[in-house]
Amino acid sequence: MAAILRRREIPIALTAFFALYMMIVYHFDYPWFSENSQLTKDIQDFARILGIMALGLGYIAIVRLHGGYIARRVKHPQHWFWSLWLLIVLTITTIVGLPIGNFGMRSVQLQYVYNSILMPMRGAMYAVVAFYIASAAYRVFLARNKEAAVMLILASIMMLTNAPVGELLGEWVGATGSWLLTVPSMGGNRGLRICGALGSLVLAWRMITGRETGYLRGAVEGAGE
Amino acid sequence: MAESIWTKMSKIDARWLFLFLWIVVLAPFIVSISLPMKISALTNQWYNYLNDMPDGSVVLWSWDVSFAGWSEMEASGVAVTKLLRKLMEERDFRIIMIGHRSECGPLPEIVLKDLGMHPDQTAEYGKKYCHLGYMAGGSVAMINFAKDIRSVMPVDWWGTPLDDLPVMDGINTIQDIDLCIYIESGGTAAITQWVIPYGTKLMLCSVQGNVPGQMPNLQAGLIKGMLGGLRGGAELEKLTGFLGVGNINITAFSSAHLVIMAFIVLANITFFIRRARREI
Amino acid sequence: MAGIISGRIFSGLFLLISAIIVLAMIQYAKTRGARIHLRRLAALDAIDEAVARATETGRPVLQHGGSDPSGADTIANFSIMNYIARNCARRGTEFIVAARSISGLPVIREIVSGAYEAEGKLEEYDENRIIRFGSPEQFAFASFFMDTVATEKPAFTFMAGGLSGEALTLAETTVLHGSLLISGSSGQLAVMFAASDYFLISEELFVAGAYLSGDPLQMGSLAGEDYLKMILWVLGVIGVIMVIFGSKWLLDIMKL
Repeated sequence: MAAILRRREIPIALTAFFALYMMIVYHFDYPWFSENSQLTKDIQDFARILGIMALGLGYIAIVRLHGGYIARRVKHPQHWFWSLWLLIVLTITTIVGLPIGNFGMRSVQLQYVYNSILMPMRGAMYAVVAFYIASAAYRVFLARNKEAAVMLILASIMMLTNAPVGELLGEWVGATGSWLLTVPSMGGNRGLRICGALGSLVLAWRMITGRETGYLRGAVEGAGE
Repeated sequence: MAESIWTKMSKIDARWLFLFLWIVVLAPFIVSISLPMKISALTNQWYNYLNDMPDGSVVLWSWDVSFAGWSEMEASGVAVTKLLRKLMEERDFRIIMIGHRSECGPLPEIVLKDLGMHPDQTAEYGKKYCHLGYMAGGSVAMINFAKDIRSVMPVDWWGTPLDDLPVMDGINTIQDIDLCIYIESGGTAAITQWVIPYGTKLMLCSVQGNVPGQMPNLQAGLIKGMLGGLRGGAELEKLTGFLGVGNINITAFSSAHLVIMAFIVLANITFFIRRARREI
Repeated sequence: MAGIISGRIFSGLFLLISAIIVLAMIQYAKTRGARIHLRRLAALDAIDEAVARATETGRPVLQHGGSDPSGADTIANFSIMNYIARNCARRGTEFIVAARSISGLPVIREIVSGAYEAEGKLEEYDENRIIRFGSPEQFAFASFFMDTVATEKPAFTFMAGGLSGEALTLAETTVLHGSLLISGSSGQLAVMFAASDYFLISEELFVAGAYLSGDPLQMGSLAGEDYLKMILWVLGVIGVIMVIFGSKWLLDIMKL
């Protein structure tokens, strides 16, 4: 039985069925075959339920992984103390979020976790991006050749456009920046998005026809040896 | 052979750059400096489109911003909420707030509390505005929301059935919404799930990094207005008179840009000198 | 036509035409045995060299596990992960996957263990050492990834699959720790292009699976994609000319 369930034809067939169904049903309006039909709603509910179940699976995966680190007292890849701390924090957050007594989604305790712990930590991590922009700019924006020089000049104009201080240099900064955003950048973005959409469409056809199997176990590797 | 100063500068430890940036960004908070700021055409377009909506319009104020993105989008988020409150009071707009990620249950609640609009603070909640809370399920939930709001959100964030909220009278599907304002920090599925199938009017408040990618949608008319990042929020604050964190942070924002440009100039000077000295 | 939703006829037609063309080109490649030649993609060609470099220096190869497994970027990343895992298994190079998505975790396990099994090195597959699950949350994962890079000091890092705001942080961290970075994205183009040594722009990421496999049938689908692009290009040119002369006929057809 396990051998039958592990056959690669099953995920390919499931992918093909659900993908084709959702692609085709989008265009039709029959009571039994439309976006509002019962089967379509059931499939969408199924997808939602799977997504929410994945949260539970993730919870179990984290507890298993870090429980294993603690049991084995590992020091690599991370010290087991941090795994213990993670499980403590995970347990506290779970308990205050459960609808028991004064706890729950609307409880003061969970709001404290979100507003006073999570929010500043995530904001701090996002702020770190600014520092990495500075180091990337120092490393990357060198006028090594003509194309790089053009990129450098245009990037500088865009930065001056975004920052109010650029307006001190004159009206031309804002006007040039707006033109760059609405003409060459938009044209380039449009082309990239059309090609990206085509690429993902063809990837979808390859998956539906079972040609793209990179996401399955034991996919065939090809040339390049 | 000892390394020249220029080679050392090209390999400078990034932490010195970080330290310098940190000092320069901190300075405007200590020494208060105000810089002139012109309102861009994009912000004007955004504001005018909202202002030109007829009296009594129903606005869906969609939140899809993470706690991390809130650092950049707070100015827009608060300014737009204040503006919608003004339109609600003066022109009878109805405002329905909804969140598309788990942070966007508590985040709008914080904003409502700061503005005195929380249900614990006022009896006006539910009459002309409400907060439905977090809608789990991503784009699949958005599809179902469009067809029947109560099928995915039967109660609001505080557990009140939608049928008990006067603001939700006659609002059953996305087609009963006149305008959707969507604040996001990581892309939106609203164009594919609401705009294209149902013709919903959509205006965006995006992080600055997403603005170039959304420009084709703006030009094609799929979105009616775009407010970009911290600068867009600061401009809206100035335009509406609701000054807030945007205008406080914008000088630091400017100084960060200047510093990064200075780093680029320094890096290029170093590069050209090293190339002239045949060190590379 | 009864039953077909107005406004979606053109898109349905395009979908049908795309299917016909792609399948026809796959069939053509199958029956004629034609080898379709692709232009070289430097980023993908660099993977072998990068893994070899990691083997010589005794440092590991690190791959980002992708975020949402239903996204096209992440699926493309899985194909590349298969290739890199087999490469590493063959050479005996340490391979690490930093997994972000919960629902992608079982897929990653299957891909990597399958790769080791295909190379006959299943006994060297240690799930706890190779697959490291960080967090599904964006910046929690970013700090986990940064720590992994700082601890393991990979010689080569590959990143693709649902990169967003944390992308630059991850990229700069890998570069600052001396790793060669190859990445691909259809979203964070500007940021990743600037930070990476090699970059797969949008569509190049989606063809990676076909390119790396060298499978003639998959290459046939890429030829079909090029024909679709030509069709769109022709439609675009015709549309521009028509609009210049004041006719919106093509626009009206597309709104059917």
